[in-house]
Amino acid sequence: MNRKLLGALSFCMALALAGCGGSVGGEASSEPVVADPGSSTPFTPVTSGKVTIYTWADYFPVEELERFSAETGIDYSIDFFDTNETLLAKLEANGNTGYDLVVPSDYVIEQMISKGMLLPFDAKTLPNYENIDESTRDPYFDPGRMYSAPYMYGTTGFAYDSSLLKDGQQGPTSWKEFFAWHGEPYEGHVGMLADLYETIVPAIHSLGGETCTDDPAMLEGAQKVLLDFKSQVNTISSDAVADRLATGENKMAVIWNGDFHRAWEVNDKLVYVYPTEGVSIWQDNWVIPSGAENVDQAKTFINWMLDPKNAAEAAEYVGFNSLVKGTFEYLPESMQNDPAIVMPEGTNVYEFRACETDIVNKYNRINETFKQG
Amino acid sequence: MALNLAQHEQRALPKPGQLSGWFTTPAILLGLLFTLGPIVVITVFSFMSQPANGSGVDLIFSTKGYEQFLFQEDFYGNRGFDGRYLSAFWLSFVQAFFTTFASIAIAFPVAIWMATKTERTQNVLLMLVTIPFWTNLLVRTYAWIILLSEDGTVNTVLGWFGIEPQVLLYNSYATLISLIFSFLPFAILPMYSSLAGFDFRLAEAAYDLGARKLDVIRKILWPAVSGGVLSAIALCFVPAFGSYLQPVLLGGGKVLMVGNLIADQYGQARNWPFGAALSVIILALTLLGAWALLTWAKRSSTKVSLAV
Repeated sequence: MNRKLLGALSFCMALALAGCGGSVGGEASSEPVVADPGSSTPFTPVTSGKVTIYTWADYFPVEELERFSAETGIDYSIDFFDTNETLLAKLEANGNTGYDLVVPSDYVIEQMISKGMLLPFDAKTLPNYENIDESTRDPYFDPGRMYSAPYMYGTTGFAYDSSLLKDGQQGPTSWKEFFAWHGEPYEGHVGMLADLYETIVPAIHSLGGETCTDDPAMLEGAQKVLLDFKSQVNTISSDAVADRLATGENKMAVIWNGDFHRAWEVNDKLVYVYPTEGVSIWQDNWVIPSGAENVDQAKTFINWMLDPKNAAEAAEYVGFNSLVKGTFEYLPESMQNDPAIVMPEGTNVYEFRACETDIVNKYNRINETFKQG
Repeated sequence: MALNLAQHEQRALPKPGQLSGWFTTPAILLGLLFTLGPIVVITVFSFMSQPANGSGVDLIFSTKGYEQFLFQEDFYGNRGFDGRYLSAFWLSFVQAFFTTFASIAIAFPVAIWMATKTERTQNVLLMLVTIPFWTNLLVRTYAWIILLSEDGTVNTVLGWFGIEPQVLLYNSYATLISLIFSFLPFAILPMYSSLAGFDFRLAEAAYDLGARKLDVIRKILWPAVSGGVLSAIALCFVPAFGSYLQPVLLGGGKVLMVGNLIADQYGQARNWPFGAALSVIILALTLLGAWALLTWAKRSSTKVSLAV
């Protein structure tokens, strides 16, 4: 054996160990840990101690944490993950301990609640609860906001460089037109996200299907749509998305609106499209793992982040919009005026949801065929 | 090696200040745990079933992970042979083959050149070969993006000569270049070390006796370096076969290969048993290859070492 292989194997083991916790622990924790909603304690702001945060890479400004520390007297440490799956595996392997605050996406919170991984701290007990936008006080993944408070939300649409269009040429306005695009000026320069849902679901929507479907004809149709489109694609990747669009490596791309905004600051001829069939909308939230040690500090932090001024500082840093009311006026003008950040009234949206394993397997099959095509 | 040592020391009377061989037991156990442990875990996982929701495995015996490799249901539920994974394996094989071939072709003259220098120079050259290891593979791979992108270094230089920017990135050539770059040291090092003690006066003697250049290479140099070449094959081929970073970052991630196929099973595809089964299949193929290599080496009495 050589070192490389051993390296790969030890990596496999790291995953495997995480998985042990996932499977065995998953079953064990499914019944008892689901604490009854009454266990939430009233809000008591603290001025000492420490809070341990686990969030997406490059998704929180460290300067703001310093300010939080200075204002509240609570010390912090921060750690990063790259996918929701990494977060789940790590928490499950550690019996939900080690972190006081975590930032998973909506559909993952639904899973975490059902597995008893989260502490029901009841966001309604926080003084700043009133700042949460009315539209998201009762989300599908956490009815009544027992386990979570919103951080950022965003959409996944697509973008193109309008300066490349010839006279009279129109850019695509729907998923149908996006996938039908063949030829100049975007041929061979289209970027797709390395994400199962954000690839398959738009293809299904372009045919008028549902987000989670196991209709064979629809699945076959989506596969054909993607295969026909493959010749236009040059990258399937979820990192440096904004950079590639800004520098022209991608001239058209499926993209998150925050990344679009960053690319648009470099090239203002870029256009963000809310496809007429609908745009995928998602939301990341603060939650407290059931094994958290510093619950009061965590709640103090969440409450602090529900202050529009504090929410705005983070929003400006990441380029996504916040679901805290009053944030808007603190945002820089470039964000306020960007329709990619402020979704126009009446935009057709569909919530990002996880499908059942059976459907995921089928989507994955399409995705593999797409990559192979 | 450690085991032999332990047995040997047990028989000999311990000298003052020496411990009995039994004291190596913790180290051996730890070694076994970290080498065989992971293999046991993935093998067990490969025979478990995929949970109905979320990731991980359910502790129910199943061979579906392996069946999936060759047989799948289509969207209508008809079961049939599915060659997609075989062709992913084939693509990775081709990629590993070219990487290994090119690395060895470049390493051959380099290793000979290095071995003919004075000892002092050789040490400096050896250090230069290992310089890439001072930085992380991810950083080195990203560096290629900066070099090859449309407004990157290479295109800038081409621009000075009035050449239009070329599309150099996000294709299999970019992947191959960075793979060769990554694995070249693994070819140079064993080939150099097999030549390091070589007496180059033999080559001179062959010349003096009228051998042609090709004959000198074939009959004098090759027997000395062939063991190093086999080690280089083993060291380059296996990791290149399962490489993940280069195809994803420089190839644009748009081709299904073994590396990203397995990675996806643990991520978005949420099919750990299949990911584990794929790993076990690759492990079996690797062992088979190593066994064939060693058998051949034994027959031709070539010295091979499967480690740096």
